[in-house]
Amino acid sequence: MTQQEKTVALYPAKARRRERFDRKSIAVAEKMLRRVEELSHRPQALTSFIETLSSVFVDREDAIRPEGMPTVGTYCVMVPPELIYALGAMPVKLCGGSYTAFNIGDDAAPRDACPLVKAVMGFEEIDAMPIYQNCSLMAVPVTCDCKKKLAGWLSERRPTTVLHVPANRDMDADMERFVSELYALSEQIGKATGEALTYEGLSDACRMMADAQYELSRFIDLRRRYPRLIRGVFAMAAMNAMSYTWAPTWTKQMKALNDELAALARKKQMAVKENRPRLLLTGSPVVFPNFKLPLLIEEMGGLLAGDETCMGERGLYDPPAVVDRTVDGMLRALANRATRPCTCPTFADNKRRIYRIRQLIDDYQIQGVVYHVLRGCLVYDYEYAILEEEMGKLNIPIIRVETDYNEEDVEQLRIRIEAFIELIKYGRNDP
Amino acid sequence: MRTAKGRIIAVCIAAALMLLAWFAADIPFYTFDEPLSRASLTSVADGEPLSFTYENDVITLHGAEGATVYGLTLSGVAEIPGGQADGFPSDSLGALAAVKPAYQADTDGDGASETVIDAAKTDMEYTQEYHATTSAFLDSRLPFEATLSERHVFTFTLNGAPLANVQIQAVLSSGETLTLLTDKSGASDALSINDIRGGVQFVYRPDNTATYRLNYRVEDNTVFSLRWLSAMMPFTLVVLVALICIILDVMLRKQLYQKNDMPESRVKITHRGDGFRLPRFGFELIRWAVMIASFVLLIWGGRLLGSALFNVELPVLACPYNLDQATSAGCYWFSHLDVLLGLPIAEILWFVGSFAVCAVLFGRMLCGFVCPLGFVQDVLHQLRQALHVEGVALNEKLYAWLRFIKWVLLVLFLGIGLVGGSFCDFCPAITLSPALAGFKTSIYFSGFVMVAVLVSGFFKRRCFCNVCPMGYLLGLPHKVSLARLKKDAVACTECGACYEACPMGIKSIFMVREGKDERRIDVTTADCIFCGECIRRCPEDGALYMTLAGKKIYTASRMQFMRDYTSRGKERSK
Repeated sequence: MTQQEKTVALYPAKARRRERFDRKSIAVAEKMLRRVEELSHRPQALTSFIETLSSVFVDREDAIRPEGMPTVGTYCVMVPPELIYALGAMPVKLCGGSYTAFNIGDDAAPRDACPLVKAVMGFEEIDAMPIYQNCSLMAVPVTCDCKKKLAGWLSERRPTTVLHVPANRDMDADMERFVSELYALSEQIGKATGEALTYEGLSDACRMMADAQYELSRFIDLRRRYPRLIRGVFAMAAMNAMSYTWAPTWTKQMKALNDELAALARKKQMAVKENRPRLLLTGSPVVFPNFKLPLLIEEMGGLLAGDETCMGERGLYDPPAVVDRTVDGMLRALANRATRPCTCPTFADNKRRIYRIRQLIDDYQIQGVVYHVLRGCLVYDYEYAILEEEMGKLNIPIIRVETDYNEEDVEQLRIRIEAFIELIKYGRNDP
Repeated sequence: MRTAKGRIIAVCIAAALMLLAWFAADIPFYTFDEPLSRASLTSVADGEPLSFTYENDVITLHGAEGATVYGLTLSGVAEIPGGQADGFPSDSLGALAAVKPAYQADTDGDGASETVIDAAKTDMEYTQEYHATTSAFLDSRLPFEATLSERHVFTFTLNGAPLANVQIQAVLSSGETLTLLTDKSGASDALSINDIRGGVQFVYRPDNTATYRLNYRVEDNTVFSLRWLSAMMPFTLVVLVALICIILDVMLRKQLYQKNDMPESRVKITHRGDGFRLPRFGFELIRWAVMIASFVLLIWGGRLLGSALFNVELPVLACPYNLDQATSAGCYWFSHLDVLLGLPIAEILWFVGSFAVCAVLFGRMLCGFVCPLGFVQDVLHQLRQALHVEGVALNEKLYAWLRFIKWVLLVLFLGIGLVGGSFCDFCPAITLSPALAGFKTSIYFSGFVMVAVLVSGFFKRRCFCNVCPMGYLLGLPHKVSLARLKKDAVACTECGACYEACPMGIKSIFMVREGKDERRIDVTTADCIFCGECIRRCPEDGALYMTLAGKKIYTASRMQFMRDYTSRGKERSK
């Protein structure tokens, strides 16, 4: 008798719920993937990323990794993947985007909690996803109230380590505290994998991630030079796939994509026509399968030319600058990278995010900004007003889109996005 | 330093430094024997021209038939009986002369014989210890005399009076003959230091009836000889002591980490893993090339280039006790303002001019590119990188302490000369450059300071540069200097990599984000040594860049940045 059969025999209601979950969540994931695939000008090399998402969310496989490698679940970009790789494990980003899991988590979490956390809780409750089940350790940085409570909730079920993220990062004392957090984290991971932190391991891991970031940098470089080269949804799919793929594998896939895009760029074959409004997506994380917003942008005649979200380009964007080639030097570089350039609104002073978005607007020739707010995601919502004012100065139209993890608001979103795109396309925006 | 406790510690440190500097000359690290008591003199009558030669500490006077030998002492000129001495009294000044009685001969080939006076002179000091006073006999027993008054200036005297506006022939050891024309003080700077290493003969003919000949010789060192090794002794000791300190420090830290349950790998020395990587062509490589070249020139440059640059008073810590360096050292005059004021006006102008030109054109770029002491610290840093030994990461508080020590040192640097001390007894640079050039220089407290410089430079890149008073003075005109560091605050992600990389702990480069033009904020500070590390470690295209006279010379690039960290295979394929 397998575990599942046992469960069915013992708890029929739970089994039914499980079956319902499987059916529904697989259907949503399949639908989103189909919509992605149906978009025109999909590069050949994107297939491997879509296959990764499909294997995780449709086939319910574990993360793509070498046989027997333990995984560590991470919940925010502040957990350095280098540290996890150095200790012989692989990081998987477990922030949830499933509507079905959200519905289950909704029962356990308060009404105003953010859907992302509810989805994580749902996945955890239903216990159906190998990427969640097989994690040897959960590393939860305290970036917002929901993540903090999630950490507590998780720690009752799983080996969990909480990573304290400083509210400021300008003083060296803040940094030093985060470095000691990373030492503590490395000890926790070491306990889970049975390996010790060594210089060789850490430097190999850093190089491995640097290879991945090198390919990402090539990708970004191509997009900067040819903002219409690839649809943003494809880029987001590739970045989401990274969360469940062993870094060297992802690097290879990304290299193939870059080579293909470089060839297209040489032939001047752009994905979309020049007159498509180029939009930037920023705000709360966009986690597969919750791809409704990027998909709507592309389907309604816009081009998602860039994104500033932590499951997108941001997730891998900042490289650690290892200045001091020692264990401590590398950890300092990782701590630096995890906090200082981070545009996460969890930090008290976050003016760099405005600058970052201004730079992205320049780099990708952005004409409008879509500000994604997940319901209950207060920190991102706070920063909308600041960004709106700044965009007003630059005369860049911006729209705030609040969504939840369901498909009920899709039609309303469609109308708003369409109107926003039309506005950029045909009319001058005069605030 | 806001708290009362901090203030007390600060005052104590300042007082300790002042005291140490004041008594620096009384705390010897390594002193050479009084060179004159070691040396011996033998006169041989071998029929050769009257001249001195050296073999280590043995001085031989050749062609001594009938010659009288004199030595210069504090109390005046003394005759050395028989031209033989097993050592010299402590009051002798290291200058020897031998004079033969006048005789009649035809030396100028005009058919008529004239009175010839043959003499020989030598200065033992040249490679021994530096003396600010020149060794001039100014005595009628040595009628015609040449004095090396500066390392490329000879002053000629006849019976103690300067020979103004006359022609003097110099026959070099190569056989070449030069005609020198003296100025109104009897000085000539036509001979380079390299011309006189093998000895030189000066011939002065006031008229057809007299000829004065003087064989002049300095005691020259030979690099990589036994003599050079003994000159290197104090520096070798400094390095050994520093090495012991570093090893002790690493061991101590290991104990500490074991006690506190820290990962042991933090202190493990390993050569495996990603280590030293040859710099790719670009700013960094050029900087290393310039540093190596200037290191060579500031130590052996006088041998390689002659005296072409001797008037340039380069304001870096290249020691003036090394007479073989390509330029002169400006630091000496800053720390000896009293001596400076007594110099002829031309030399003061050279000093002021060199400083102004260097400071405005390059500023602290000299620290990053030229200073030999900086180079040594950079080498130590690379050594630590190759061994992966954990360093000491400084934070704002520790940098504030360093800044405080810099102020104390600055006061010492400029002021100690005025109250009768010498900063040279305290300055670490004196242990390095003279020793490598083969000058036997006794070192006093400087040796201990140099140990501190090496140890701190190993654990913290260019630690001494943070407290260097010479560097601070060079950085003063940073507002007008041509080298500039600029920042594009919009492109900048404020990742702090520049601050981490900066050996000078300049935080403003990471923090500044408001300015008239956010894309071109000038972040040049008085501390910046233009080593370019911030730009090398900047992952954002164009977020940081350096300009020289308005031209961009180094710009941050993400792809270049990434290539420093990726696997080597990929580096090649790209």
